[in-house]
Amino acid sequence: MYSAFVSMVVIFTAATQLTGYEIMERVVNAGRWHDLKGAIELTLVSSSGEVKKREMDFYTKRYEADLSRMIMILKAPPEVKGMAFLLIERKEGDDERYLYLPAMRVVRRIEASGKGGSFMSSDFSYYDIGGVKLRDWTFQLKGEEEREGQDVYVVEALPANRKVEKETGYSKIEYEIRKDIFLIWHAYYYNRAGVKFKEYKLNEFHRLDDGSVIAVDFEMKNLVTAHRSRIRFVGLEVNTGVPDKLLTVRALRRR
Amino acid sequence: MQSGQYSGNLLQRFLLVFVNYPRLTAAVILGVTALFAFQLRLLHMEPDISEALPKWVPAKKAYDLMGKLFPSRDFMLVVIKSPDGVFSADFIDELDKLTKHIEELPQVYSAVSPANARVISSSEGVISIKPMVEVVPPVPDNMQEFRRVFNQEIPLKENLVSSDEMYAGIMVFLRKGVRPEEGAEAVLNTVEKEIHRKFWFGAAGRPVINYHLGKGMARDMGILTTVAVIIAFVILYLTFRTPRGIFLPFAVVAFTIVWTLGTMASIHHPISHSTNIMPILLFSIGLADSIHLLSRYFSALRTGKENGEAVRFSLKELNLPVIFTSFTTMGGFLALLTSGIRSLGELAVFTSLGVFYALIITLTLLPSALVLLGRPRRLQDASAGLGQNLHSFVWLAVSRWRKYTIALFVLFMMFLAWGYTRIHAEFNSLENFRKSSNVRQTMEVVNRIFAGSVSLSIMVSGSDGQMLEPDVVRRIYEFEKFLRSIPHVNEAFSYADLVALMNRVFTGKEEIPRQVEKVVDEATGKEVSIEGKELIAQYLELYEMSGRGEEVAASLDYRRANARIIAFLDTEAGSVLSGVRKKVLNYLEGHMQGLTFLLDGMSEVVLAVNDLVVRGQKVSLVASLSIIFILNLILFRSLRYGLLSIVPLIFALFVNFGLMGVLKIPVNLMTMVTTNIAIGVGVDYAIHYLFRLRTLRAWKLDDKSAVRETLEVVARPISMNALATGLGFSVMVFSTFVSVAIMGFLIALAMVTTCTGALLILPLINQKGGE
Repeated sequence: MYSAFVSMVVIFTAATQLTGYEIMERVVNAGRWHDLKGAIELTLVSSSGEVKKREMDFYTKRYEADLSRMIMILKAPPEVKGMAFLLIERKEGDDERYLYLPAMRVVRRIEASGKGGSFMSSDFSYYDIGGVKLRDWTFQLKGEEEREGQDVYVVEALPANRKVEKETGYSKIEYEIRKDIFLIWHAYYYNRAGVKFKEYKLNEFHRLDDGSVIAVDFEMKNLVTAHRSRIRFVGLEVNTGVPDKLLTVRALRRR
Repeated sequence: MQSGQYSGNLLQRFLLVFVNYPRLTAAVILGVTALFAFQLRLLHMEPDISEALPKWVPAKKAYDLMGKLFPSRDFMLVVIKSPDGVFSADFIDELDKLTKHIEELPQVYSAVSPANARVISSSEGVISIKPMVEVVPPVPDNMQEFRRVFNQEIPLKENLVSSDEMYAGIMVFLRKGVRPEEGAEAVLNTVEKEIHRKFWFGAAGRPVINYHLGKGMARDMGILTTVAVIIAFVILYLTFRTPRGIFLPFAVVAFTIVWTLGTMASIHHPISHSTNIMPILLFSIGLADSIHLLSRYFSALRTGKENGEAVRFSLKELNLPVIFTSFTTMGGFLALLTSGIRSLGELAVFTSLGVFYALIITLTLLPSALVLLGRPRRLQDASAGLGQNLHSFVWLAVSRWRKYTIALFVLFMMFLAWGYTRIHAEFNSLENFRKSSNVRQTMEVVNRIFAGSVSLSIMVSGSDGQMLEPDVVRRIYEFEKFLRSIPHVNEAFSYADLVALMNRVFTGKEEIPRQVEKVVDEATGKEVSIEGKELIAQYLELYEMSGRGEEVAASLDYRRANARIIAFLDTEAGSVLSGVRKKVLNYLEGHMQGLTFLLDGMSEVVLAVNDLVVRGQKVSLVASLSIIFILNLILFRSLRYGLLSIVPLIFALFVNFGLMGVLKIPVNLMTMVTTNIAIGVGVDYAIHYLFRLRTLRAWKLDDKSAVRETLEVVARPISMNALATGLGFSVMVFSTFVSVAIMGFLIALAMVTTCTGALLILPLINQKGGE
C-alpha cells in the first residue's frame, strides 16, 4: 500500500513536469516489447453499413523505439489467402514495402509515393500503422483534461518539416493521451487544408507481464465519409523471439 | 338553382362578416403574414434535376443505389487553359498544386489531373504506382518525355488533356452524401483562389449544372420579381390611377407569396428548379382577382353608391366568379400531379395553395381595406384609362366583320396545324444556359475537345465475388471497348482496366487473365496452374495496397458483387442519347447473361425527364381540361356553358403548340408547365365572360344584346387582366435560363390567346345560336 502510494506520488510529480515531447516519448515506449505475433482482424465498415473483413497473421519486431519490421499474411477472404506483405521501416529514405502474390508465385517491391496512402483500403494510412515517429513532429502539451471518464494529456503535433506534411497528408494531429497508461486514447487528424477529417479511438489495451501496455483494439473513423476501420489483435504473443530471417524478402519469397 | 342561391347567400353573408369587422380582419391577415414571414429564414433551394424524378423511375433508382454502393456518385470536370499548352513545366507544376488542394477538400473523393494521374510500371522486381510528376518531374527539359509517358501510360487521358493539348482537365469525383452543387461550389472556389485569373478555367458535369442552376434560381427570384413588380405597377397605374388601385393588389400578391413560401419553409420544403418560378406565377395570378374586384368597386362608386355599399356590391357580384376562377386555376395546376414528375407536382401543390391563399386574402383583406380607407377623394373618369373602347372594336369584329374574322382564324389555324406536326421533346440542360454563360461555353469546349461532359454509368451486378470471375471481367472489358466504338461515346473505364494494367505489369500482356493461367514459380522455377479469379483478386488487392484503394472502390463494391462502368458522351441531345441507350441495352442483353444491369448518369436523367415530359404532357393536358370542364359544369350547371368555357383554352393550346413547332421550341419540363398555366389562368376570362352573359340572358336579353352588353362590361377588365398577367409572366424572358425565358414568352402568349378566345371566339359562337 505504501509503495503504491509512493509510486503514485512519483508518477504524479513526474507527470506534471512532462513536456509534449516527453509524453509522446512515453507513448512510443508504453509497450516494452521487442517482438509480437498473432492474428489481425481488419474490419472496414462503409457509411451505408457494408462490412468487409480481412484476417491475417502477423509478425513484427522492433529494432529501435519507432523503427520496426512487420510481415502480414492474409488468411481471408479466400481469393487473397496466402498474400503476404512485408513492411521495412527506414530511418532515412522511403520505407520498403514488398508483396508476395501466391497466384503469381512472385514477390514484388511496391514503390508508391508518400506514406499517407491508405493501408489495405482502410482509414489507417501506412504511416498510422507504423506508430508515432518522434522525429517527424514537434509536440506541444495543450492541457490536461478529462475525456470520457479518463484523465488525459492533450498534445498537439505539428509536422517538423514540409516533407512530413506532404508525405503524411497531415497538417496537425491532436492526441489525447491517457495519463494512467500512456496510450493514445483519442486522436484527431487534420488534412493539409486544415480540416479535421479522421478520428482515432482506442477500444481495448492489453497489459503485458512487465506491466507495460499495448493497444489491441482500436479504430479510425473518417469524419467526412463516415467510413470506419477497426483493427483487432487476436491471440497476441509478446517477446517470443520472432527471428530476423522471418522478416526478410527472402522469407517472403519462400512462403 | 335554389340550393345554388342559398349557398351563394350563405357565402355572401360569411364574406360580409369580414367587411363588417375590417380592423380585426386586417389585423388577423397582417398577423398571419408576420408569422409566415418569420418562417422564411428556413427556406432553402434544391437545384438537383434528378430530384425531379419520382423514386420509381429506373434512372432515379439507379442513382440512389449507386450512391449507396459506391463511395462516389457525382462527377465534374474542371477545365483549365494553358497559354503555352498543357505540357509546359510551369503549368504542370501549378496543376499539381491545384489538384492537391482539390483532393484535400472534404467534399472530394478523388481528383485526377495530368499531374497526379498514376503511372503503373514494373522493372526488376519493383512495381511502381506513382503520379506523373514523380515519374517525370516537370522541369523544362523533361516535358517531351512527360508528354510521351502521359500519352503512352495514362488511361482516361481523353478527359485529362484536350485533343489540341491547350486545355488540361481535372476529373473530380465528389464523395457520396455531398450535395452536388455544394461540392461544385467548393471545387470552383478553390480553383478560383488558386489560379488567380492566371488561366482561363471552367467546369462541366451535373454538379456544376446544379450549382449554376442554384445561382441562376436565386438571381431569377430577385431580378424577375423586381421587374414583375415594376410592370404590374405601371399596369395598375394605367388601369386605376389611384393609390389604392395600385397598392392594394400589391399587398394581396405580396402577402400571398409570403404565405406560400412561408408554408414551404415551415415544412422544410426546398425551392426546386420548378417552384423557383412560383413567386412570378403567384404575382401574376394573384393580381387578377384584385383587378376584377377593384374594377367593379370603382364602377359601383361611379354609379353613386356609398363606399361600404360599393364594397358589398362588388363582393356580391363577384364572389362566385372569383372563387370559381381560383378553383379552376388550382385545378389546372393540380393536373400537373398526373405528370409523375416530382418537382412539377410540388409546383402544382404549392402554386394551388398560393392561389387559395390569394383567394382568401382577396376576399378578406381587400374589402376590409377598402372599407377602412373610405371613399376615395376623387374618382377616375369612366372614359379614362386603358382599353375603354376595346369592347366597341371587339363588337365590330364579331358582328360587322364576322366573316373576315372567321376567315382570319381559319387561315391562322391552318398555319398552326403545320407547326403542330413539327413538335418534338427535348430536355437539354446545356441549352438551358445562355450562349454567353461560362458553364455553356465550358461544356461546349469539353464536348468538342475532351471526352465529354455527359456521364453514363452502367452498374453490372451478380453474386458475391462474381465480379472477380475472369469471364465477367473480360465481358466488362469488352463492353468498355464496345462503348468506345459508339459515336459520341469517347471514353469508358472501370476496374477491368486496372486488372488489364496490372496483368501487363506482371505478364507484359494488357489483357484480362484467363480462367486458368500458367505461371512460373519464382522460388522453384517450375510452371504451375493458377485460378484466374485469384489472380484478379490479388491484382486488385495489390493495387489497393499501393495506397490508391479509392480507384478500385469507385468501381467495385466490397462484396465484389457490383461493378460500375463510367462512360463519357459529348452531347445531351435526347435523340442521340436514346440511340446510345438502345445500343448499350442491346449489347448488355446479348452479352451479360447471368448478370443484371442498371443505367445511371446524366444521360439517363436527361432521357428519363424527356420520357416523363412526353408522357406527362399528354396526361396532364387531358387531366387539366377535364378538371376545368367538370368545375365549370358545376358552376354553370349547363353542359353547353361547360363546353364553351374550354373553347378558348383549346384555341390557346393550339396556338401554343403550333408556334412551338414553327419556332422549333422543344417540349420540355418548363414548356410543359406552360400549358397547365395557360389552362388554369386562361379559363378565368371565359368564366368571367360566360358568367356575365348568363346573367344577362337570365334577364331575357336576346343573344345579340346579351353579347354586346357582356362585352361592354367585361372586355376591359378581362383584357386589362390578361395584359397585367401576360406582362407579369413575360418578365421571365429575362431569366438566366433559356427554358424559363421561353416559358415566359409562351405563357404571356397564352394569356393573349385565351383572352382572344374569350372575347372573340365565344362571342362569335354565342351570336350564332341561342342557349
